[in-house]
Amino acid sequence: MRHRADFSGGELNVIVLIKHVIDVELNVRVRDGSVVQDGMTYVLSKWDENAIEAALVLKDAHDGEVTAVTIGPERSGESLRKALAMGVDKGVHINDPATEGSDSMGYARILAKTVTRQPYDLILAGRQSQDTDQGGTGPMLAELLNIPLVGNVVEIAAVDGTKLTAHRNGDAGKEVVEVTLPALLTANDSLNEPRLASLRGIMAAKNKPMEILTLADLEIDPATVGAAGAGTEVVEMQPPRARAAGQKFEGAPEEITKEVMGLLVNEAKIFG
Amino acid sequence: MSETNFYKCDLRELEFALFEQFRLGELLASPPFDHISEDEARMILKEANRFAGDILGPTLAPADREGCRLTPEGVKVPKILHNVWHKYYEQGWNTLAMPETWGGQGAPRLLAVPVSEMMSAANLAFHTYPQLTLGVSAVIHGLGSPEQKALFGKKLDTGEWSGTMVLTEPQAGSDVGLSTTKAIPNSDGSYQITGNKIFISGGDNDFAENIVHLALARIEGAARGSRGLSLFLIPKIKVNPDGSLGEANDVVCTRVEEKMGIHGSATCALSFGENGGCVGYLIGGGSSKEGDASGGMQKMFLMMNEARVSVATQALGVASTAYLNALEYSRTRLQGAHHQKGRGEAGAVAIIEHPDVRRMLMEMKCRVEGCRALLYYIRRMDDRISILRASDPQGVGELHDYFSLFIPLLKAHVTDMGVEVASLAVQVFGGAGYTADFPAEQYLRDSRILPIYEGTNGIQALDLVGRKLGQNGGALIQRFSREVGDFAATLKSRPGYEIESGKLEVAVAGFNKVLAQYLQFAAGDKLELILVTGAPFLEMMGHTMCAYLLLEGALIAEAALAELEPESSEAQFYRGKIASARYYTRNLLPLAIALADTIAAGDATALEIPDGGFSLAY
Ligand SMILES: Cc1cc2nc3c(=O)[nH]c(=O)nc-3n(C[C@H](O)[C@H](O)[C@H](O)COP(=O)(O)OP(=O)(O)OC[C@H]3O[C@@H](n4cnc5c(N)ncnc54)[C@H](O)[C@@H]3O)c2cc1C
Repeated sequence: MRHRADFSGGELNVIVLIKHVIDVELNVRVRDGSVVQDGMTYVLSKWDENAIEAALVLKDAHDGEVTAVTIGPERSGESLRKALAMGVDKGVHINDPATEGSDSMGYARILAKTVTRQPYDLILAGRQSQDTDQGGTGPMLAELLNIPLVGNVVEIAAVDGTKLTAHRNGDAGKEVVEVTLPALLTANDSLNEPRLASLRGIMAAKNKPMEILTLADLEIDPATVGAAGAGTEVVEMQPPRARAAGQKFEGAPEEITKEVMGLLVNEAKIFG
Repeated sequence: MSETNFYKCDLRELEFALFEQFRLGELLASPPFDHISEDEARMILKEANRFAGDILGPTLAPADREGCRLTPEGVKVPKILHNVWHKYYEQGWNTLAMPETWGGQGAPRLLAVPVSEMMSAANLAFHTYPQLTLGVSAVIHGLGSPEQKALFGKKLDTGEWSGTMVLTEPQAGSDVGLSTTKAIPNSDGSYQITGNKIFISGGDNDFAENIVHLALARIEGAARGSRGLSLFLIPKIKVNPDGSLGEANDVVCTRVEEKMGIHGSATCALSFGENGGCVGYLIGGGSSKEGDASGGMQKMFLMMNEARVSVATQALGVASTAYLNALEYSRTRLQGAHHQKGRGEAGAVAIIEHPDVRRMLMEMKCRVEGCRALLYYIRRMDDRISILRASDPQGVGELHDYFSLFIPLLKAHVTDMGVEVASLAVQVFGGAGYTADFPAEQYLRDSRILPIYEGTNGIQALDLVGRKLGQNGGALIQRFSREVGDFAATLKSRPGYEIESGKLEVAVAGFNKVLAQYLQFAAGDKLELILVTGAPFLEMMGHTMCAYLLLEGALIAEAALAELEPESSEAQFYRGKIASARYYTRNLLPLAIALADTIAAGDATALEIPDGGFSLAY
């Protein structure tokens, strides 16, 4: 469902998918197979900031409206408010205990129902969320909506009529991809430098619309999402293994190279 | 080259001070602050923290290395600060506590304190520019004529222009009354200004299009001393009535100081009207009539009181990041064996395990938190004044006087403690702390200006004992002593706080003894005994106040702790708060108690030693 067949000269309506995640910059501790919640703080997932920035840049160029959508408990409202403070026009918060424990597919199902409630031209998401690093939700949503997907976008080169050109880093170099709108893009962190929320933006956020929805509002059967509907299960969490101490080399580059090569060949036996 | 970012801030601690002890929520429930929610306040803290960390933090060492240079085109400040200046204003951080009628956000000043703390922690030298500009804007919005507000106020608030505060002259430092800068009336009501000023922060820079100098000068024929000084608005470039820039106003920077720290902040000598072409305008307009022109000092004080609170805030910011850097280092630096457990697997233990290092960390932590409590306590009073203004005008007057009692205490105590904390941080780092690889040495150099500018701490002590003690017939200082005494009495009934309440009671008794002794000195014509003990008096009062407020915080922490899992991180945080209060009361408050004895003893040695006795073969 699209806002209009050809928005050229018209407006571009963008939906940004965002997630409120554990702040991984803090010391995340794992005990008895799960993450210790004590002392945990939450932030807006970093690639989602890139997605928001991209949406705001497009809005500046083409007008239109930017809507941010999140799924999560009460506390997730903080990331939505932050998105509004950065300049997003409208927030949608799906807050329902039955969404808890969703896997990527569960989130995609909920989002599919949510985004189709209003016309849109483009959906932007982070290339993965900072907590699970799965990167599944965006592609799955594109599939459910049957719209084109460009993942891991590093540049949005042009938006022209019903088409958008995006660059992504592929194995063989930069790929230039053209898609018809509506489409879904996921953002790499080199896509842009996300703006910080300004003081004025923070103060203006409270006057922006924020919609809070439950699964019932979206006519979603709770059994198909959340832990109940998940096709995958996290069996156990393990803390990352501590890295062994590194080795520091000092001196002129040529000497260091020789020394390191020697070690790689003779000690690590890397070259057979 | 990407720069290491040493900026550190303990948001949890700031939230404790703001929301738990000094109850920002209560302020936000009353007009004129009730348009801001607690959620917004928390977001403001987080985003300011991010600005300070991501944008300002990486500029600390580069701006220090590059410094400021005088060139034929004027002063060049470190290039890296240009972008930061524009971003700071784009984000509107200066407008946080500015009244809504001036185009600000109208937040409580209490909320602006942690934000300023963060900015000065990230880069003190940078923060001097917007802080002064904000002060100038406040004077113009508060006292300026409608045209001055329209022409100058707005551009200062957008950062298009910057502002300075111009008092010091080569022969007029602490004694501003010796100023010789002259103002001669022009026929159009403006003045022709001539004179030389020195040490003017931000006196010239290359990031603002224009600079608005607020300067003290003496109108021809006016009285001698500070009484005869008037306050002038002197633009660097003349401004046309439509707001566009005209020709240069004959204000020339003749020198930029080489100095110990805050290298990113341009300290300028300025020559006004060397070619007879410098025009100044009386603040509030008016012409050469004596009545309009007088009271320049009082007007400047509007800015200076504010500036003194800001300087304390700057000191706290730097001290706090210095402490947190030392803390982090102490957890990673391996050295020496544990006094009981030995060397352990790594062959050495983290230095935080050594009792003497723990002592230094505790000394820093409790000073930082004590000063933070002092600052927030005083700022909260300011906001209560704004709330009361509508309902209880008489209460406003009393509270305002009480507030003013604390200004010299705050300025001097927090800046002195700030330097001590920065010095301890260097010590925790050991040799590394003395090198430029770590930020500790810069924190020490930068913070060393704070006990000097905005009135030296010696002058603050004079203001406290010479003026504030006697104000309202001594009622203010008695109110202070009663407030702490009452708290000590309630604390007595708290099991587990016997030592603390005992020490606080002794400190208050000592304080009262000194006040009585001061009356004797004054009656016996021994004013010099008051003057020679002004600084120790201020220190005594500062320690007493910090101990009192930390103990109040400890009781809040005790209540919160009762609900928590003992080993949870929240519980550890609260136990840290209690430790700060206990450590301060048991280790620093005794200094106040000892000072009370020495002050009351009226030792005149420093007065009686003959000048030649100081030697250097007089
Ligand atoms: C980096 C820097 C930035 C500055 N920025 C500004 C600025 O923006 N605007 C501005 O106008 N000024 C500024 N100053 C000037 C600053 O405010 C003065 O240096 C300060 O007020 C002290 O004056 P002074 O240097 O002349 O010292 P002096 O007044 O000579 O004092 C020397 C010593 O004598 C003591 N002393 C002096 N008089 C008395 C007294 N009556 N009783 C007891 N003790 C006394 C002082 O406490 C001090 O210890 C700045 C200075 C520096 C170094």
